[in-house]
Amino acid sequence: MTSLATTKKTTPSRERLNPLIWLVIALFLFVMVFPFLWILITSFKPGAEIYGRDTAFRLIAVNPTIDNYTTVINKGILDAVKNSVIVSLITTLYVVFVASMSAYIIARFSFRGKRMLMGLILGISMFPQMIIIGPVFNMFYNLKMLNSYWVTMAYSTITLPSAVWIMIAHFKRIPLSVEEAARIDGCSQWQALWIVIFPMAAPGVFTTAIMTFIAAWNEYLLTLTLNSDKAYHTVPVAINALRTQFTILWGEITAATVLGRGTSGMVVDAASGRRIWSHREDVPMRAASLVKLATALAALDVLGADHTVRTRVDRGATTRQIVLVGRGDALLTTAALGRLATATTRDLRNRGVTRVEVLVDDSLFPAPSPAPGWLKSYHPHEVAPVRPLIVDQHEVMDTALDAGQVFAAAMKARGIGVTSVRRGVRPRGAATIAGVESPPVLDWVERMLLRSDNDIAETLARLTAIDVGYPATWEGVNRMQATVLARYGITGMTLYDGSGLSRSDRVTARAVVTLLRTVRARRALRPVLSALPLAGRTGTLTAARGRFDTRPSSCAAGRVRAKSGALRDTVSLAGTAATVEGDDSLFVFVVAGQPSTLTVRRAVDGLAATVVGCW
Amino acid sequence: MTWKQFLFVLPLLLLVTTFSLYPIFTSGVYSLFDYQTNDQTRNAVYTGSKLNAPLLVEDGDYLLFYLRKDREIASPEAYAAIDALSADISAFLAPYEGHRQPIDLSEAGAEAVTAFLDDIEARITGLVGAYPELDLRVSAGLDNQIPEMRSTIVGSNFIGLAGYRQLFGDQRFFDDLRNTLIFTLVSVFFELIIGMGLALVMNRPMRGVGLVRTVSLIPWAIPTAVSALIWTYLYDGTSGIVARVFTQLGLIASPELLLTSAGGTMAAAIIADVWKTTPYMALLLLAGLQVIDRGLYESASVDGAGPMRTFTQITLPLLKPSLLVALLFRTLDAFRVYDLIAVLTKGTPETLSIYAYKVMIGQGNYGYGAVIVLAMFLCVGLIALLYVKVLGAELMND
Amino acid sequence: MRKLTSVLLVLALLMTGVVSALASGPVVIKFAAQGDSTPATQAAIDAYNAAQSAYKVEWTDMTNDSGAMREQLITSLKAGSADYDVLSLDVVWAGEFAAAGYIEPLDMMLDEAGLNPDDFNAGSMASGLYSGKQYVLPFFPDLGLLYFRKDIVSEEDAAKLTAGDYTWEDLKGMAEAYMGQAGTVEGFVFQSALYEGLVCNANEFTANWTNLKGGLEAMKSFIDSKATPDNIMTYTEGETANSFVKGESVFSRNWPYQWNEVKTNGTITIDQVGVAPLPGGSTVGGWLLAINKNSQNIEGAFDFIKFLNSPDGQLVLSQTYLPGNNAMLEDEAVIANNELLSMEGFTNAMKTTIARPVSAEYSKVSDAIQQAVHAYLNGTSAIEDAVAGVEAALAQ
Repeated sequence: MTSLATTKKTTPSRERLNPLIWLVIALFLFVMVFPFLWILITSFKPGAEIYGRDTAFRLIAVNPTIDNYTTVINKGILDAVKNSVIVSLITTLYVVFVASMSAYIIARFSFRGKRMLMGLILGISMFPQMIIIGPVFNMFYNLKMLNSYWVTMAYSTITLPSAVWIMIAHFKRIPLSVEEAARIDGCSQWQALWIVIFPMAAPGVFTTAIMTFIAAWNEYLLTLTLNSDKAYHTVPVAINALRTQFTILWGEITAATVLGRGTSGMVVDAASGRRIWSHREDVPMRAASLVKLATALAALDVLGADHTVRTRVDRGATTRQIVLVGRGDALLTTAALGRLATATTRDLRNRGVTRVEVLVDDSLFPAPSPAPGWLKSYHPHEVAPVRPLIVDQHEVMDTALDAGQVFAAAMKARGIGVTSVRRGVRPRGAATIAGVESPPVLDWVERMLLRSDNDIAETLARLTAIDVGYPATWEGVNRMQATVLARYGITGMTLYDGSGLSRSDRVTARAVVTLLRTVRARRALRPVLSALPLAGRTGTLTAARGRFDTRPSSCAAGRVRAKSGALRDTVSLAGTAATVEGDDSLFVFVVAGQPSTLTVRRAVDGLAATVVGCW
Repeated sequence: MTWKQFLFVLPLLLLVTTFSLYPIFTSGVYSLFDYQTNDQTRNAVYTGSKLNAPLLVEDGDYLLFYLRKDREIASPEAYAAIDALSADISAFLAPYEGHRQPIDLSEAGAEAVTAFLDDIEARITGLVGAYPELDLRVSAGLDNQIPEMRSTIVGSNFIGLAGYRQLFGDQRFFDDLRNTLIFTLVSVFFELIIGMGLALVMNRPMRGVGLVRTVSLIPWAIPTAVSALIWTYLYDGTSGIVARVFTQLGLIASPELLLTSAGGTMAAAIIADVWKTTPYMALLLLAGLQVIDRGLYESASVDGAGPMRTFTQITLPLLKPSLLVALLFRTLDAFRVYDLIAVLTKGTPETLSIYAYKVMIGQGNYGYGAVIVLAMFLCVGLIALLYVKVLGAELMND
Repeated sequence: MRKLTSVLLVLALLMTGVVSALASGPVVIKFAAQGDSTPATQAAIDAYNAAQSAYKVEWTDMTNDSGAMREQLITSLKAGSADYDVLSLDVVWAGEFAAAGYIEPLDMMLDEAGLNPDDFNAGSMASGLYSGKQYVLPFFPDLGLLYFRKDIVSEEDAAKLTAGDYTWEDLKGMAEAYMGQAGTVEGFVFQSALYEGLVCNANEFTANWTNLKGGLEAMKSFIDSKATPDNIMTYTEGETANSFVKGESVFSRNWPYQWNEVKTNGTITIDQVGVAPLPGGSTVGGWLLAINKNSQNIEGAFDFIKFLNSPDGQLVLSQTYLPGNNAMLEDEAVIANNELLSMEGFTNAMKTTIARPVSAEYSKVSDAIQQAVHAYLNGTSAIEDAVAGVEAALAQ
């Protein structure tokens, strides 16, 4: 090479090499590094691009994302790295130690059986590692050394032989005189090895250490077998485990992450509406009871907070017939029916009637049918078939007749005999005997949101629909929701009922946040927010229900007001959060496709705590 | 050797004996037996006669279970026969209960068991024949439990060298041997050449040598299983950039061949292995280069020697020990390759390690698997011997 | 002396009572099963733990590489370990594990619990019936399905497919005809890499090994046809699903999980997808539940697998998986969770399930079939060799 010809007599300084050599070196380095670089590029691509026919070859991702990294970290790759480092370090240390000691003796001294020993060490490397799996597993199992760092002992079989041979080669090169001098000075064999020889064999030691470390770092089969517990997995095992049976998670394997497939959400600053975070915010999802927020908004907007309805008793076709007319009071109580009964009794007595037939008129709403997307199992406990007459929110299939029975009992208690209770329609133009006002709609909204009451929600939705001019059918409800939401510019909600029970309801995260902003900005609609359960304290979010009572979400107790939602396979949470910085944020989280267990609900609570900023 | 010197070598001996010699020894023993874990008549090393007591009791309990169920539907006339059978079976099983492993069995014991089984088989056949309309469950015992109970008398599964004889006729073994040799020789060859070049470069005190050293170690620092996954993606027929580039350069006919065709997968595996292990070779050779006295080079240049002569006359001879060690261990590693190919292509081209793994652990045939393993040892031992002979016997000398 | 002995005896009994009372608390049952990318398994375990207090099930998350999981299980069971109580086994492992004596037969426990093996999925139960003894209950059954793009395939063809009224030849014709429409690039994708999936697909092509020559030739004609991607021979379930749910292929053969994949990860929507039975029958797959013979808690283990197969457990599992308990196939909530169950194409497929060989040496048989078929498909060997190879493997 040119360098030799131009060597100066001084110690070697920076030499310029033939540019051709440089080119070769550069090319070589590029080849060495290219796969790694390519994987780095890939790790920032979302899954679709990684597989895509053309996008797979792009240098820069169309939609770069760090999702892949967060998933892998979530899946414990850092633990695997920790394990790999520990295992490799332990192996390196003891192998270098053991190999040095043995290499020293073999290099320095001759003894009987030396060739056999060297041959033995070499011979061990000629067997595939897998033969040690069975016997060593049994041994470790009996000694209870499985799933621990004891596996490093088993690594000796792959690392010791080459370590010993390399050290031998290096020890041989160190002149005997050095050692003899040390011995004369009074060093023992042991001291001579570690104080004199070992440092002089530094390049060899260094090489051995690196090789051993890398060999331990690379090891796959032994760890997989002996340390089947995930807590002790090293990097190769953990990464291979990311390959699920049916999906090659390229994004994750190239070190990346994803936030769960069925999750969407959005967080905005309450005052400005500035987006703080969002994920799949425009994907229509099933959001369970978050739909009640829309029902509340529509009710307050159309009916008004003070609106009431009046449950009446009208005259029947004959003097011995009275008609209990339901007008949709979802909060009707036995006490209220009692007051109705008292007034009715007074009137009947005045007319000298002592026995009546009670008709129940629930014709305000058409005959009940399940909404599109409702399961038959919802009746009667999740929601009763929707009728405009219900007492004490009894969960029965025919709430109107049931209310009629309660009323009849009240009449009997007041001395009027009731011959029968049956369904009927009030005669046209019949006069009203007595009536009882419902609580104002504001009360309904508050109760509905606090307890996530489905019956109130459906009744409210129907009443609102009627008031807007649509029929009190499911289709009417659907059109009413669409009309009202459109008026406020809230798009992204397709609703088939008022409670969110319908599995056909679809809501985007963005729509929910827009709704929250809307109600926050209008005094008339403010109650939608203030009626929401307080985290950890009231309604569906009490600690008794396991919400916001454990770490990490407990710090958010009292600082979050949110509507909760749950179907069999959906958990949702939306509302306001008072952040630690003093602002308010509006948020929504929807997790679909997971069973609505307490664990998942608590996880969602944790997300709310993140919005608060205390976790 | 003095006592003290022995102590120095003791840790090595302990580790080697426990984790290497002991498994090798068990493999050797296994290779002489027909040891298959999926067959309870030979799922251990049996030298004498044994009785698989747990299985015998299990099947006996099944017969009792069937008889219990049958008694519920049988008419009272059958009770006597059923009860007698149940009592006799229970009595027979009693001494064999509570074992978790097969127990030793004498000839007399074996005869007793066989006689008993013959007896109850006859009685059950009679019972079933006497009440054909009842469709007794115990008749299933005649087809399943009784034959299985007979199989619990296990003889020795020692076969001596029969396994090795089977190996000679095993075409798959020889195909895999060929694959393994091709892979080993080609990979090691390239690793040697490129590694040597790299080591020579890294040995220079030139600008940027630190960078070169660090960068070239990257492939080696990535675990084999992981780098195999990386290469699987790079070679992918649809989205693999290396496959695409190779196709565009005309090196292969179409992208997916790298992971499907026989030649393609061999090339793919070799490339991945060379990429991964060249740094290892380079590092070993570099360590060897670094101890060569610079003065030798200077005097060579003074003497007018060109680069080629310097290399062959000075560098190579002094590098020989390191070179030999590097070559030797690298060859042994390449011969035993498993992770890389298993992860890259799930097993093509099939090498000996993969075959041994499939037989031993995949099929549970530890006997024949051990034979393959020992055959591997012989092959690679021959190669090692060859190296030592060709590259200098000073290796083992003092 | 006798008095002393009896006093000591009573004392000992008391001590045992005290000790066992002190040591009480739910008994831990270890459940070895693969990671589940859906929440169904964890939900089922939670439901069981919540429903009773005697046992607590802990899930030991096994590697998702089935081959590696099998080897881990075998290594552990071979050593006689009691580390796992309940095992989740692939359908093809049960025969092997039973033959090796690793798992506990269930007939007597089933009888005591009043359960009849016929109440559960026939394919699953058959896979665990060895030497006349029933060793498993189902975890969840699986079967191979033909998925097709309803929006591309004509109504007439769709009807034929759904009814099962077509041959592999017909399918190839359709694949070649329809490919390229509506953004698709391929006609048909399926699994033909060198692994277990190849055996499942070959099983379907050859109608449960009854038509070896015709079926394997049909398979090869697909590989060589333009209707399949060039690198079809590297395809496993992952690549197949990826291609279909991203709208790249018109037809695909895959397991029921692909239905959920379309819904959660699909570029196409679920209303564009139809399912149909396969011409040669649908290979039964899925997983089974077995009990480690050396387990210390056999009653607890059985209680758990009994729960998973009870209506409560099945409802929880049905959010992702098909029910193994036959009665649940008609349960309204289960059907609501899994629309596949009410689709005609699916029920037709359920009627034509076929099993892979149940053998103590399944690995060997499978390996031999894989080698024989793969060599033929990639052009290395001739059809006669492939047929001979498969026949030899089946005869083992």
